[in-house]
Amino acid sequence: MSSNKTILLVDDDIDLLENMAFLIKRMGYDVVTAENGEEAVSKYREIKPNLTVMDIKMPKMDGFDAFFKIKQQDGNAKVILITAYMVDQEKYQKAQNMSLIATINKPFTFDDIEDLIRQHV
Amino acid sequence: MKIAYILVSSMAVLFLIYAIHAYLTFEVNLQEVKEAVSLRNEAQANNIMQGLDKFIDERITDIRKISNSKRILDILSDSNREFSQIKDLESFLEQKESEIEFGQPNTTSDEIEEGELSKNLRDTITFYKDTYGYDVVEELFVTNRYGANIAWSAGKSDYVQSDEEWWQATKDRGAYVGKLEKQDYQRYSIPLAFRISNEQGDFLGVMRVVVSIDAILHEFVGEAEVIEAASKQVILLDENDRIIYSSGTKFESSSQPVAYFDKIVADNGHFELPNGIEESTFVSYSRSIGYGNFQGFGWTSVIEQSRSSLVTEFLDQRNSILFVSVLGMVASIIIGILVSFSVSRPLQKLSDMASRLSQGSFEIQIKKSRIYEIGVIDESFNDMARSLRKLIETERELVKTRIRVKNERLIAIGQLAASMAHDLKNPLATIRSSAEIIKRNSKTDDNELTEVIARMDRAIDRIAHQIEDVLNFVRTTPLDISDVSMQSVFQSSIKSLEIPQNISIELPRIDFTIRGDFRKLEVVFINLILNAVQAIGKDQGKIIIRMIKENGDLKINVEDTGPGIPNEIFPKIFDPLITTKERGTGLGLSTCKNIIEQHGGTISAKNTPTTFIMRLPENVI
Repeated sequence: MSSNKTILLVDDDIDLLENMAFLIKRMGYDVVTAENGEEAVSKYREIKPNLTVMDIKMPKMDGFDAFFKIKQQDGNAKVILITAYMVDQEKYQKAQNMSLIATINKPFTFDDIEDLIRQHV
Repeated sequence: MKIAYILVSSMAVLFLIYAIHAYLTFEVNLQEVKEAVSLRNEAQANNIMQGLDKFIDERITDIRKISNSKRILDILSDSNREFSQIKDLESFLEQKESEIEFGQPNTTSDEIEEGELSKNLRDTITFYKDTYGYDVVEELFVTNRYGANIAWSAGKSDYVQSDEEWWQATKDRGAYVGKLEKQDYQRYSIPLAFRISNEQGDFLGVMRVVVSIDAILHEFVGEAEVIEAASKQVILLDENDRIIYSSGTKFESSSQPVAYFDKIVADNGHFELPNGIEESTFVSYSRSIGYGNFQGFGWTSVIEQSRSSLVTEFLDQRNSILFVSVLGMVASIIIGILVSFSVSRPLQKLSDMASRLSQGSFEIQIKKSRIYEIGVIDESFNDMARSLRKLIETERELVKTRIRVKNERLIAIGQLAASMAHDLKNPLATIRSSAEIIKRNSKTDDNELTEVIARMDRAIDRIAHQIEDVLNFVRTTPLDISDVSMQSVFQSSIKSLEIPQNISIELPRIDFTIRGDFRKLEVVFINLILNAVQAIGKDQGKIIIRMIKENGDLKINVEDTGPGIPNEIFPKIFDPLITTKERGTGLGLSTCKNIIEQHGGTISAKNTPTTFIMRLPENVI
């Protein structure tokens, strides 16, 4: 399965994270999970995933900040952010300018994620 | 009613009553004075009449004295003796008469004129003339018992008088007083004649004197002038009530009696002659009754006085009262104006202030009036305005505090709602993904499980929608402005909704681009279309979106064929928590309104057909 494309999935909600991981794996991708921004940044450095799907609201480091760090490491990093309510507009604008692939709104249907992944991986 | 008007009118009425009283008193007094004046004039008329009679009597006595002088008696006795010796007296007299008549040079006339007696008589006449300044005696001559002139001193006469009526009358009765008439001398005069007798009473001759009217009326005119000086008119009437003398003119050539002769009925009396509307003449008269031996001519003296002359002094009095009244009225008007200035004006200011206070402007201050009482009221008003101002300020502060507290509570509630809604999203996402996993793991032919999962999905959708409603309502993020194609907003909104088969949506054929927040505008149309779908329900229906440019604004109508908005909630549909749906949050339209207004636009609704009308400016301000 090492030839498979790898997707980094980041969310502080473990249940949701595991459900998502399960579904994405079933699509035929390798899934690496992280539970906060810091972990996501270090995991990204470690495995260089083909796509990162990351929640914004997380403890320690939020999705935007993790995105900025990842982008510093890898300018070509492909990241999808999962937004919820109360988006920090300033960070959102900044992210848009740093070629963020897409944002997706909670509670999304899995079909939405599936489409985006197939499109960008 | 203004105080000034009341003051002015009451004072005016007061002065009017004063004036009316003065007028009535004047009328009553006038009647009394009229009577008194008429009586006084009557007395005066009587007086001057008596004076005239007395004067005539005295003149007669004077002349009689002359006639009885011894000298005349002697001359007459001689003449009579001489005549008694003439044999044919009749022819003698005829001859003498014709000599004088035809102006033949004769000695008779000259003899008589140059006679001693004639000279004496002339002296007497001159004496009279010198005394009075005018001709008293027009004619004077003396005849003997045979009627022949033996002396004359003035005027001209026939030689023989015995054939004259007066001569005979004098001879028989002793004296003759003729009528006032125009004699040969162009002037009115009265002939008098006296019988001359000796001590034994034998008839000796006749003396005739014609006295001029000037002489007779001499004293009368003097007295009349005095009376006339007092705005009266003195008239003397003869025995036929014709005017002899009137206002300084002697004997007006009137052959008719005066107009009011029929009213002169007694010896003395008075009456009033109407003369126009306001004018009349008071006439007082007195008939001559003679004096001493003089029987009188039957003349009447009349004093006329016009009402106006009588009334003048009363008029002056009345006018002065009326003047005072008018002055009073003028004064009351001036006082009214002054009162208006000093009382009404400040009161008006107070009333203005009161009305402004009642309208809520408490910033005003009134200038203190110089009138003490009003000044006190002014001060009270200012105090009141100050107190009210303070009270209102306190009240405002209180309201502000209340609002702040309320807002803080609302903000806290909003934050709580937002945080709750947000926190629900993760578990919901877990549930949704779990359902997805179950669906994918189940056998495809297990219909029962598929339906269960479908129900779960619908429930999740509903929760998700409600969470979104709440978040949209609470969210007050600034607009994320970009060029927005309205057509793509419609498309995207429809795509995020499940439109049932029984409902068709008609979109505008044209597209307009505005500056706006795509996602927020999408929320608006999701809400409006969802409401329309739910209103139509299971019936066949249609949703029509129309879009036109109007006055630089973009006007968008969302119309549906549903049953419409119930009247009872119609006015409140844009308020939060108002809903007709069992499963609605009541935040949808409220959110729409917030978003449209954030874009500088307006939204309104109408029924039949149910239409939401939005106006959006092309550029967000």
